[in-house]
Amino acid sequence: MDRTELYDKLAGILVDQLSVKKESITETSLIVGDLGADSLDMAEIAMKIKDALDYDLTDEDMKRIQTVGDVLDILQKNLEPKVRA
Amino acid sequence: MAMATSNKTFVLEHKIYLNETNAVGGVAYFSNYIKWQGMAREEYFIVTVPVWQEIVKEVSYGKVNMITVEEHSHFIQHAYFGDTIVISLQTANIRTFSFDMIFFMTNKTTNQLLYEGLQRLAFDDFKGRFVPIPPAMLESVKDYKADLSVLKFTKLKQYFNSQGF
Repeated sequence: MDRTELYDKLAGILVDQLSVKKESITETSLIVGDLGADSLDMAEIAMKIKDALDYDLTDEDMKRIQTVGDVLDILQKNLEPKVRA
Repeated sequence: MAMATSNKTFVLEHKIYLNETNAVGGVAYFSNYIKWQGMAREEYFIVTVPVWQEIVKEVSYGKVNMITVEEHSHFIQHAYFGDTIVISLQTANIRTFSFDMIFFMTNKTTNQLLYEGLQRLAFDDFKGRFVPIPPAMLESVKDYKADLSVLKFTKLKQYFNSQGF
């Protein structure tokens, strides 16, 4: 799975959880500030990422996440070699 | 009177007393509708969740905490001292850590819709970490899931549409 495919999966999760349009999501989108997530949404998103990609976001990961790109960076780093840049 | 109906809408009746009205015209004061949401919610758990007492124990032991994270109200018509209101409750938007409760309140005599409301309930471990809905409660929550396509909302439909339902 390359970064584009990973992005598509993540965007699908964000659309489903936050009821935003896919077109409004970019790598620089702030998940809270731009996409309107609250702490409950973040917990649900983390659960969906775990189900879809078999990666459990840690507390440290969650503290680092501000943007969609941050999530992709974390997933790319931790899912290697499953994810190619 | 509380009963679990066969069509899976939970119903509770409540008579409005003077202390629930405001100083003007004996009209039910707005905050009571939230209180009535709470009454209906608690009665729903008591009646429909067989192990509700075990869940309350879990809460008292600090193992699981039920949090109201969001609440919406739309006040449609007045209710007055002496009126009996019928509070109906169904669930919606059932997710891993949360679900919604939808409330309609009608005048028992006239069947007039007085109020529609919603609250979102979530569960955490008292340490700020969300935990899944307790399994015993989840069973009942699924049983009372609303068919949003047939419910007649006035204002809340806009909310549900905005949420993608």
